Amino acid sequence: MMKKRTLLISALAVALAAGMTIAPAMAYFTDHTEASGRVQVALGDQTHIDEPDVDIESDSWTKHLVISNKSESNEAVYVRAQAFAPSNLTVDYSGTGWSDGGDGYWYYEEILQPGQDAEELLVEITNIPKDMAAGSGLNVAVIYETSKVLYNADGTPQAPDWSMAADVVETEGND
Amino acid sequence: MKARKSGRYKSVTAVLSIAAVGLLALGSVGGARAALTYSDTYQSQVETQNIAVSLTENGTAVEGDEALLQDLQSEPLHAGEMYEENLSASNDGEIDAFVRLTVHKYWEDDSGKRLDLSPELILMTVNEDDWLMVDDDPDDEIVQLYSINPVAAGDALTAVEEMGVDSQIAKMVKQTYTKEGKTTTITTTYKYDGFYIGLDVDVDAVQTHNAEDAILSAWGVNAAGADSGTITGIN
Repeated sequence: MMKKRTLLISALAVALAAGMTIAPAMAYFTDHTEASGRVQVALGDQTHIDEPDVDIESDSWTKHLVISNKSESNEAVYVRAQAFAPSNLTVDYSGTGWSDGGDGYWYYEEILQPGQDAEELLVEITNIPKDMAAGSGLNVAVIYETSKVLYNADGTPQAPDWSMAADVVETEGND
Repeated sequence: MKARKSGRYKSVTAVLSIAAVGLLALGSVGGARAALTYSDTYQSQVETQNIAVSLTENGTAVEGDEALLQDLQSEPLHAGEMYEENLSASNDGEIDAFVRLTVHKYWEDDSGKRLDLSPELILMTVNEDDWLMVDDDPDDEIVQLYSINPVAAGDALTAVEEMGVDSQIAKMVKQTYTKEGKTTTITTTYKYDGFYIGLDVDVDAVQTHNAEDAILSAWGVNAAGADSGTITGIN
């Protein structure tokens, strides 16, 4: 009995000793490196519509509008404008460098670089009823739109894409 | 009754004891003595299997944080334009290796990562002649590039050639109206003006011997064709 138990233990010990030998570790050759960084994106342009005064000449009601691309902006823009007046009145536009697009908008032919002003756009209200006194109220809304100038690979500017509508995701102060 | 050792046994014991002592004495390890010789030719053969890979950007090796995109820091990026950004994997070891580039591109502002802006708007031109692109991340943040053929020791392989921002980002604007008397100033700012593009690139290299097994073990993907030297698909 004793002998069998001893034999068993010896056998186990031998097996344990054999099993304890560590086989050489095998791994595939690999290497790794990493790097990171960041760069800022600038998109902003600031345009500004200036209406220094309402010039009411003796028999014409004319707005003088100067649209300027502020120097803080870092992008060139195309500009177009349209005025809205009460329906019984006619709006006449004139100005150097401005041309009628045929779609209600008047387009400025040149690209406005940052810090550059467009030539004055004169918006004249004609067909004013005779009984309206000078200086009495008339609401004429002028809207203007800008389109960012995109450049081709060779540096030439592309034609403006007015269909690329801005997606106004946030407004402030328009009350 | 104790058995008394007879004379014969006594002598056997004595002989055995003497033998034991003698064996002990002889069995101890004495100083090993060898004949003195010398040789004036020393031969040594060292063979190392060195695998090493590095990332180069526009020709310069880069590693670590804030190492990438330094060439573009001179002025902020404009939307719609592609900028030269050459990212290459360089095999600096002694054996050929299959290389994988994992590119993480994302938007960031000063307070951290921005998840509301899609990394899809960050554009990259990849050299798809030499790299297999795996671009199936639903968030579009991670792009993996696998070298189709091994990069030979001492060679570099260009993976990314250009980077830019999609002009779609210019559509999203914020308008601020301020009125001063007769003058209305509408300030249109792009909502994502001033944001940063973040770029993290990981480069991994693996041996070409038993490539398919090695790639499966190291990277966890099946690279079909790797054993024959040309990866045809990753799954």
